Amino acid sequence: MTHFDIDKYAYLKSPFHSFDPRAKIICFLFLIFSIVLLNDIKVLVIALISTIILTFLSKIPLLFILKRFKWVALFIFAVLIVLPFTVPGKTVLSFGFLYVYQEGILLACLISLKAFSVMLLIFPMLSTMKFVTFIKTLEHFKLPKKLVQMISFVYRYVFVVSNEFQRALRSVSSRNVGKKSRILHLHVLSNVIGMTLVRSYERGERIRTAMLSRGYNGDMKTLHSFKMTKKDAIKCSLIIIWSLSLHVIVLTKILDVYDTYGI
Amino acid sequence: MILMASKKKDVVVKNLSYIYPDDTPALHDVCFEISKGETVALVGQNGAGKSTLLLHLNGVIENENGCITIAGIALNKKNVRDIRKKVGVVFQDPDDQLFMSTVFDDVAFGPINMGFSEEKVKKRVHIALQKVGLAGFEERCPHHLSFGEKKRISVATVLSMKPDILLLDEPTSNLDPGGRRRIIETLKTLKSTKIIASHDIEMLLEICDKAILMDKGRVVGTGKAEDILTNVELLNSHGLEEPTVITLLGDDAVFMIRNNFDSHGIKKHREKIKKATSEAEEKKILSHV
Ligand SMILES: Nc1ncnc2c1ncn2[C@@H]1O[C@H](COP(=O)(O)OP(=O)(O)O)[C@@H](O)[C@H]1O
Ligand SMILES: [Mg+2]
Repeated sequence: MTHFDIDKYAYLKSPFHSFDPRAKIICFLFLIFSIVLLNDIKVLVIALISTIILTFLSKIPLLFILKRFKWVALFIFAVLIVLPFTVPGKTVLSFGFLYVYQEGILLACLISLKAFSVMLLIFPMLSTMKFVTFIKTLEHFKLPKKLVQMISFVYRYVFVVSNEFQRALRSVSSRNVGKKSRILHLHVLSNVIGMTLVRSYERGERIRTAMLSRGYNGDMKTLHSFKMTKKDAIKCSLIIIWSLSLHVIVLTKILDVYDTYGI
Repeated sequence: MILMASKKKDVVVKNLSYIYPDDTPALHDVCFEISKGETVALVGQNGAGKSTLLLHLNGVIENENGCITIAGIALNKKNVRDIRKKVGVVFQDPDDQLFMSTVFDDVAFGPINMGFSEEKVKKRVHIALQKVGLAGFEERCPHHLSFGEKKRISVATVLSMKPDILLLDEPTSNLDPGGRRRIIETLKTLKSTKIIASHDIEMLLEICDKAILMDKGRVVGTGKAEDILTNVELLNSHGLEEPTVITLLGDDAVFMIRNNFDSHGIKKHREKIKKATSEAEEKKILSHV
């Protein structure tokens, strides 16, 4: 059985693990948005370096991050390949009828720098707390109750249901000793899917019964004990200040000053 | 009046019948009484109506005809919420019982709905988890627990509400011997009135005072647990099988099961019987003389 494991390393100890989840989510979202709004390659490189440092500080193992990076990397790779040829502008290179444009290269770099930074920030933000804590933080931020309950139920039952489905499939394939016919196969598969749906429905009914019998009245209440300390306030402000400084760097053109000196 | 009050009835069911919406008859004219503090076995083969009966006692299924009285109060639509505070149900599948994302939230669910303060809720959760021997599991997720642990947490979710009456649906099904033993020991320590639906007769013999035998929605036998649950003919005629120990050892078996096969206790028990019989024989001889 596999588990949803974004919170696999939530038990580690780091400045981000001890960070109050509300403050953490707010300041990281702030940082993410400010990075997304940047349009200066040099500043984006600085931003990426800072996100790498933040990720490093969170002590989440590199291998864990790399494994989850596969799909983003694939997407970025596609962007890197396609954009230089398709965004028109100044021609830099040409392979026969294919032209490589400078604007395209620039855009591809911008997008991939942003994507990498944002993806990396997910880890110090979300992998340093339990998913349950994340759900509770959403609840705390007054997201619609129904939405939060739904996320929470999906998180709780997705593996129960997928287990049921796999069990049913296994029992079918273990009895499948006769000739293989594709139509029969599809027929059996649809049966298994149908059975899983019916089972889930029945389970839903039983869960409702269990909830009712413990006094459920349409409102799911939980206790949460978030505590904001001075340290949390300092960490939060530091990250927000850093997000703002990225834009200050762009606005004041500090880096361009170096350019004129030939650096 | 004084005489009647001496044995307080906690659960009284009279003429209860129920047919599921899809026309499956589940209960037929069920009647029984349970006194305060008793542990009662609800035995019967699959489909006998045990689960349906338990759902009635908690008011999850509304009783259409018949009468259910819990702690002296007749159950009806208006007081069903109050009754639920008194009657806790532990369902068969712990994945149905544990619907929250952490053990703490699950065990706290009942007390929070009862409107307790944060402090009281925390205290209740702590005590309930201690009672099932799983203190320190507060922050765990149910889907990372073993089946036996989930089962015990299920019991804790109900204990935290401090019910006067505890209903358990097949508490030992699907458990390995170790898990089964732990559940049994936990149940033994609970003093509330308990109704345990199961076909694990050995377990029922070990912890129950009384037994109600059901078949096809009817009550077909009530009495002392050791009488009903060792009545081989009765059990067999309703699709149940007595534990092998009973076949092998007869009357001794009840004692052995009750004492969880504690060899020291059994030795003592045997010596006592021997002594008693020899004394009785001596008396017989003396009276003859
Ligand atoms: N939700 C339901 N809808 C229709 N029939 C049901 C439902 N639940 C149980 N039954 C039927 O009611 C009868 C009693 O079931 P149940 O109370 O679950 O028995 P037990 O718990 O003793 O095994 C069975 O014939 C069963 O098929
Ligand atoms: Mg049942």
